[in-house]
Amino acid sequence: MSARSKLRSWWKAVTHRSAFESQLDAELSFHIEAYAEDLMRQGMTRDDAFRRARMELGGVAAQKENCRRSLGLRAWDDMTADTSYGLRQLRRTPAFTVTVLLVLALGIGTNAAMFSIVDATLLRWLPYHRPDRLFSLYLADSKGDPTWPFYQDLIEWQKNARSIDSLAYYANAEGYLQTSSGEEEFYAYQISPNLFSVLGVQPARGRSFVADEQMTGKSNVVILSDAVWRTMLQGDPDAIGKRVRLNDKPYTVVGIMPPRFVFPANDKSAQLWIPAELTPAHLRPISGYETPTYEVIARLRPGASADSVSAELSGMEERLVSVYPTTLKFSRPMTRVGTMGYRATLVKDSRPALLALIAVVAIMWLIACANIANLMLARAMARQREIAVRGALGASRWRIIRQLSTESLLLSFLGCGFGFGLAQLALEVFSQTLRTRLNLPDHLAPDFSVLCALLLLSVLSAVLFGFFPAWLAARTPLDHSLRQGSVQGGTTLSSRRLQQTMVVAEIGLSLVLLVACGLLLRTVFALRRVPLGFRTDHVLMLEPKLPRFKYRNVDKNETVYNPLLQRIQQLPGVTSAALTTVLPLHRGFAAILELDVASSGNSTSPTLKIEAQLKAAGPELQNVLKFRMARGRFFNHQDTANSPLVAVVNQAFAQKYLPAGDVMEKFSVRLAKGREAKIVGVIDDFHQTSIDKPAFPEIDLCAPQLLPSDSFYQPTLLAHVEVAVRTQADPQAVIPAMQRAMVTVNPDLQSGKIETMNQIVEDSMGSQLLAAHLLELFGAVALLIALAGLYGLLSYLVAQRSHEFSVRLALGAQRSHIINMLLGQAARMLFAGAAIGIALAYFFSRLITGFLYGVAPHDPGTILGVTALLLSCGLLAAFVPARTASRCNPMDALRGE
Amino acid sequence: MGKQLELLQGTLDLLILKAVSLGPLHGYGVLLRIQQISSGQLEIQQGSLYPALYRLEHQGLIAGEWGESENNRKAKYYRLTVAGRRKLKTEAENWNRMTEMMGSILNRRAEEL
Repeated sequence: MSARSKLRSWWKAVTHRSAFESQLDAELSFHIEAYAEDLMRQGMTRDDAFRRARMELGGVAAQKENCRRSLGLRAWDDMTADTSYGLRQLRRTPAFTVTVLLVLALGIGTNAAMFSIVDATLLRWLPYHRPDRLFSLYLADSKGDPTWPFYQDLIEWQKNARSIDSLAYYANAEGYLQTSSGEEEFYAYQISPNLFSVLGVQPARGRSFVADEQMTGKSNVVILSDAVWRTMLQGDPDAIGKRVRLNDKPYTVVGIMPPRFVFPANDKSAQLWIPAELTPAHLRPISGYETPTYEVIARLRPGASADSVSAELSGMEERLVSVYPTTLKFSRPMTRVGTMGYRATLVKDSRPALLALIAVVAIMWLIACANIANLMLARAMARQREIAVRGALGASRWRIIRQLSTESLLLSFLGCGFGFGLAQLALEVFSQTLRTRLNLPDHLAPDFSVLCALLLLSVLSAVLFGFFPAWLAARTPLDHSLRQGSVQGGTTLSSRRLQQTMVVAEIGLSLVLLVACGLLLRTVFALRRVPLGFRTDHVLMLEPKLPRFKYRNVDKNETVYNPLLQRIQQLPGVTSAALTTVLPLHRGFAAILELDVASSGNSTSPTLKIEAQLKAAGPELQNVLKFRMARGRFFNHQDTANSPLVAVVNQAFAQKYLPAGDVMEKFSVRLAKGREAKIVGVIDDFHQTSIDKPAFPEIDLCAPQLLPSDSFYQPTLLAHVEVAVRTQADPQAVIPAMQRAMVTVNPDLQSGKIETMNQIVEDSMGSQLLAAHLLELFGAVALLIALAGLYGLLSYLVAQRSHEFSVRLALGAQRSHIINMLLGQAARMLFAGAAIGIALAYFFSRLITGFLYGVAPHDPGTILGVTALLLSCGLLAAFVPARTASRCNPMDALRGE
Repeated sequence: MGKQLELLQGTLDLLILKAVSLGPLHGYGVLLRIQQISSGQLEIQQGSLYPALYRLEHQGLIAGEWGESENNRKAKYYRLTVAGRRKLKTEAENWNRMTEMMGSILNRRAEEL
């Protein structure tokens, strides 16, 4: 009650300040007049009466001040006075203000950008109920690599697991929706009917799926996302019950999800969901590749943890595995069930990069604060006389500290504002790269929590860089600085020592960033220098995309791919083109072949388990990619459907599986009964999956020889086909012609993707390239700030000591001697900073070990090189003020006394 | 008539509340009313009156309103609020208990112990 009335009266006085003051005036003057009238009635003269009345009240100004104080207005008045005084001071020294704001904006801006990214990834908001209780479940092998569980597994878990509240499963589906203008593809998923209730989200309109709708014949129902409903059905309020054509089949719309709902959370919001239809394959005992598998998401019971779920399900899985067919047990030796928080699965690739970058921006912020603290300290020292005078006039030490802190806070908030703008700009610039690398959601806008963090950060900055200088300035004895006549008197030993410490710290921290930056640059260079084993220039990769539902019973190779290939081969500017099912360095589809082979008819010898990547390719592929053969030959145009069957392996395969003996003699690939392909060549290894991983064993089949009835047809030509093209001139120039060619061959090919091989190589460097680019930027900024700090401090010291230097010169000191003295001082700071920096870098570089390739985290060359760079830049920055000092005219200073 | 009494610490607020409880008063009126009730025995420092009034208003114990004075001048009149009335009651009780106790302590003689 009382607190509320206090706040109300305070607020009224603050917001209606002039009314408050005039009422106070009126009240007091009424008092004086009334009293004076009474006195006059007692016989006093008018003048005497008024004088007496005023005297007894005790001074109107003091009265008013006391009245204000009883409302708690005093603190407010002090603050507004300090603020306007601070603003005036900042305006008076524009160079200082701009420097501080710039440094602060850089320090806070990088942090703000990083906060926004972290907020959108690691701490991401998910449109589900209690998303922290949602976990992904997967089967893990001995290396911890995940696989999706079989339908039978997850049904068993669903039935018996006690630590799971509910469990849902989902898998990709095709989503070609028929519109008036043709077909449009959306992200589509086949889901278990309970998925939305596991997520704790209900459709905004209509209903979820029911269990019955998993049965064949009843499963033609679809739930649309808000985005699809708005764009495809124009937000039709009567959409529920409407028919749509999906993948050329009639579906009934049964539900519309609320806006902003998205699942899985890592793709675009234009999604649709259909029930996971149960086919006979779901119900047969697990047989291998024919048994459907799903991604699983589960909501944990209260009290259950990821570990307890993993332990319980792993126990169950042990029994389940015992009924797996032997071949499966052999090829998928996994008994452990892994769990991972659903949110964590969205960022598992980018997490280390993000954590390292957070550390980097935190260091940048510290450097910026140390730098500004130095500037503030210098400024406070220069204002020593002003502060001393204030103290002499009765300002308490606390009052002085408060006044100086107000200035720091002002700077901090202004810097924070600019930093925020800078962050937005940086996010705009980087948004494209960041989005593809970090899997960011559509909108990347700082929300309330980011703003709170920023506010906290700016107050913390002000405390760091403002409070200590203010405290130090207020601590100096008054008479000390008042007595010393000159402006230079202010610098005390302790403040100078503090300044030097901060410059040393800045240098040390910058070195950490520079080392990290150097290591990543070395990594990028190392990655660029890796011999890929094939040529990347003048190569285009074309990925034709066909709606699967239309071509389910059609031989796409005969009807689409081969005509497309012929068409492309005839295009001007194209030297050669070939079909391939696997593209180097592409995260596309790659069938890993696992088979047991009894070596050459000897039934007693142990079976050999082969793990290799399977590829089907056209004979021109060698001309396009220009890889070399270690032995034998690649496919050529004589290898047709009617000629003897041929295959090719790579060297990794030959070395791993046939260390002794002749691979070309002893090994053959059986395509079907009576169809054995003979190995005719061994390819020199090249990097198939990524630059930083060695070649994986590989078997290549000749595409023109494969028949749809062959067992290897399904995982190769049926699954995924790309066209590799070598061009004569700039590959970019050929792209439009190729796009036209695709549509002429088949209108369904319009959404096909064309990329240059060079682009694919860049993309495969992924996280390293991103981290390197960001670190280059951060490292450069940090170096600049630290050098500015060093330069600023030395210039300031030189200005402070110009009198001393003049006297030295007048007494016969050599100019070179003064330069050497100052450079020596700078060198001491630089070496101390470098020593600290190297020690810190030793620990920090462990954080980024995961990103390094071809360079050790403690690579002495990099550390020494970067240190040398820092030292030489530092000495250069120190030389300028040192030369200024050596040039002062002895007469000027002496005359000034 | 003897010397005027010095005001005890903390009693000014209570006196103002009492004065105002008898009817709305302006600041000068409060002063006069207190002198009147105490038959001129209490001297209030004029300097401490207005800060006290502002403090009480700030605490919501009295409320100020502008009105006409006897001689047709604008003056700020204070009246007791509900919270002020409650406060006056408890404070007055406390005060009475205190004076009673102090009186009985100070009047004790050695033989009564």
